[in-house]
Amino acid sequence: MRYINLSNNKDRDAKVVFKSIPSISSVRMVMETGAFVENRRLLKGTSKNNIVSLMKEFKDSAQLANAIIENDPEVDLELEGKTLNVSDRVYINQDEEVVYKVRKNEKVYLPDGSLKDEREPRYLDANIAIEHAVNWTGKIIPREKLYNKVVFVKNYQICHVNGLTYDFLFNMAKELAQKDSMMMLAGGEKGDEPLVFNDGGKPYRAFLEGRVKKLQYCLILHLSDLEFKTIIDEKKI
Amino acid sequence: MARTASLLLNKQTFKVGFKKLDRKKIYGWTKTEVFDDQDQLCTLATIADGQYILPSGSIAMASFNDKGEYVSKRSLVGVNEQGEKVDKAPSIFDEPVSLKAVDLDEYLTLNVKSVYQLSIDEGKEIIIELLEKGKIFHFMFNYRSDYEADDAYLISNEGEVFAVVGKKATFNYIGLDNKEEETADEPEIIDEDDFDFSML
Repeated sequence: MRYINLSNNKDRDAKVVFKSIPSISSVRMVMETGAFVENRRLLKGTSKNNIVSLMKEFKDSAQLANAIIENDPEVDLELEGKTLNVSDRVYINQDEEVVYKVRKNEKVYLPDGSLKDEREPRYLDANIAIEHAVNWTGKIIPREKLYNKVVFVKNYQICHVNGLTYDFLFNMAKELAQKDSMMMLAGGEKGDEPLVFNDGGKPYRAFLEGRVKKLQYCLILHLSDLEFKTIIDEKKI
Repeated sequence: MARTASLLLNKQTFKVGFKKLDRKKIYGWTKTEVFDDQDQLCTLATIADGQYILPSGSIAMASFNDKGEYVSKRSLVGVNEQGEKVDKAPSIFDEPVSLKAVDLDEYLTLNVKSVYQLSIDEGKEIIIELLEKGKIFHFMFNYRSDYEADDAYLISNEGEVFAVVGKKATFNYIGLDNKEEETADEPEIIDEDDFDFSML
């Protein structure tokens, strides 16, 4: 369960929760007998017996090829096929050794592939559950005008955690449903920044949609980082 | 020549090509390079059991039966919720698919996987005219033959036609009694292999 600090049209804010709604698969892969299978992550090899290490160990590729035929140095019988459970991510250098101190450089490319800029990587802090509530910007857009302008790449359902937040969210959903519109939400101190859901994560433009059925509501937070724009060059066709 | 699919609407067939739309093609992208103190380029790897360094390509996924024996992926078959075998749905490039008008509520519950811009040789203006009136058309989409097809929706903007592909989700209406029980925060895990296209 994750929290979002959300404000309403009266600038009142409350911490409520949001969750993704996964699509349920109607097909499951099983054996011919109908028996279920279990999927596991297995180790295929390590940095000690992969091709990079072996190329360094042997003088030339012909020697390595002979060794592979005769002695199987690329196979570690003790480790090959081992089930992996807990693992961590590390940086390694070209000698495939763990690196403890790194420097990062970010290259910015234009759509045609040309390099535009080089800079220190930007790191965005999450801004959905901080002291500055996610802002009800007042920019209300009819659903009919928005759905074909931007691609909603993620959707989250917003839910209440107690009676007070039920009223808070129900009223939001009701207002949006009556107007058949979505409200643009924004974050940050000034309340005009894209929403960032995780530290170091990507920024998204956010639009809140509300639906109401009697005393029940459905608030969907739609996120977008992509517009419907042409990528087909008519002149080349 | 690019492969084309046949979309059927009102007894008319439209031949369309699909070109994938992503941020990279519209806004560009960023790539983060990592260097050690010798200015050597570094890459991400996995470390298992605190001792085995696993460069990219060192891990495989495999299936096992209840006796712990390896089972080839090719030998698996798809079954539905009732446990009945299902046939593979054909690729959209192999058989025509029918378009069906749906409402906006349905489209807005889609968990999007990919977006394509459509190239339409003949009859583009007919489809555009319908879509610009606010109609949304649903069809089943499989790029390759597979047991389960995705949901796809035709959308138009600025005189172009797009197919948004994904899987419908069921968003439930919630009442006063359906409150979420509060538990500890679980931040999502970020895969650092992802290029961040959005930081331009």
